[in-house]
Amino acid sequence: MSHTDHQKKQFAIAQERSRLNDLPGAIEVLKSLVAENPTSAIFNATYANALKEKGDLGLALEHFQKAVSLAPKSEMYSLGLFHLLWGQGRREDALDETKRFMSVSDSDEYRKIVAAINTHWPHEVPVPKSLESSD
Amino acid sequence: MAGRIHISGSPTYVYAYVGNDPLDRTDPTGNTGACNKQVYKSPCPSPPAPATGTHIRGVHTGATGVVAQSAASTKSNSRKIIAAGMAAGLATSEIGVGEIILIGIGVYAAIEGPKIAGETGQSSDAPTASPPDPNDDDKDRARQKGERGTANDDAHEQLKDIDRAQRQVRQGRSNQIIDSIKKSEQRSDNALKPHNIDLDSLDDSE
Repeated sequence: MSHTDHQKKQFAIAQERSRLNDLPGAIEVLKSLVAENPTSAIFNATYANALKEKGDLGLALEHFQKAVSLAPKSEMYSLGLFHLLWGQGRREDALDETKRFMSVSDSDEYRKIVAAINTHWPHEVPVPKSLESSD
Repeated sequence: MAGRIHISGSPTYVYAYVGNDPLDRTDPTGNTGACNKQVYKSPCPSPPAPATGTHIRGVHTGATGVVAQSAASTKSNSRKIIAAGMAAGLATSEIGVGEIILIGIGVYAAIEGPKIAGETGQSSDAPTASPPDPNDDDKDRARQKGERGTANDDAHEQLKDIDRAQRQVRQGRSNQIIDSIKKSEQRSDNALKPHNIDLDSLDDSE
């Protein structure tokens, strides 16, 4: 994925505003960048992350999912989606994303997360058949 | 396991109910051994009694738990029992007037299954002192290898770990904050801040 010079300049503005903790200003620029280049995974992901910080979780999810679909092997975007889902209490969905990512790539970060979950609750309770995963 | 044959104890005691002298003695009543003078015209030795264990009507239990089941209580099944006994390779003998003594709880268990276990207070699943299987080590190694997996199974194991984690959270056991996940989220948030991104390097990776 390539970005035009104009988009790079715009992104530099977003970076500066982000550095200054100007979240609304950064969101404004990132929103225009996504509109200009909707197939840019990084624009979608940074925009999603800013929206998450703002608290607009629904729109953040939408753009994280877009970023992941555009770059399915990107650990950074996948983790962004994972943490958004996890933070919303959608932990099974978050782990579905973990499973998806680990099926196409590898991630020490995800390994640590899974290990943390399984270590935190080391004694697995038998799961009824109806709740077993179908695969 | 119903019908499973367990044989334990020393053969020394299988005729304990007739003082280990089945040729000279019989036990037609199931209560006590009796001298069979009609067959053997010689005095019997001192009255027989099991060295230890219990003596109940129809069932004689030796010191090691071997049970001799008098056919008097199972005449209707005697032929089937004999067949089972032979099949199991157990010793059978006929004494007196068609009375058949069958040895071994396993024979009766083959016919009656759990019933005999209930009657004698023994479980048909009771552990027996069988010698160790020389192949056990190989089996253990194979099993451990299967559990640990190889490098090729790593991905599969990882997916299983994720499934396990998923089941954990499905059961609502994930309400506590896990520090490592929180830290991971902070790293993820920071990584996605525009000022931490080198757009030029991403052009190639995307």
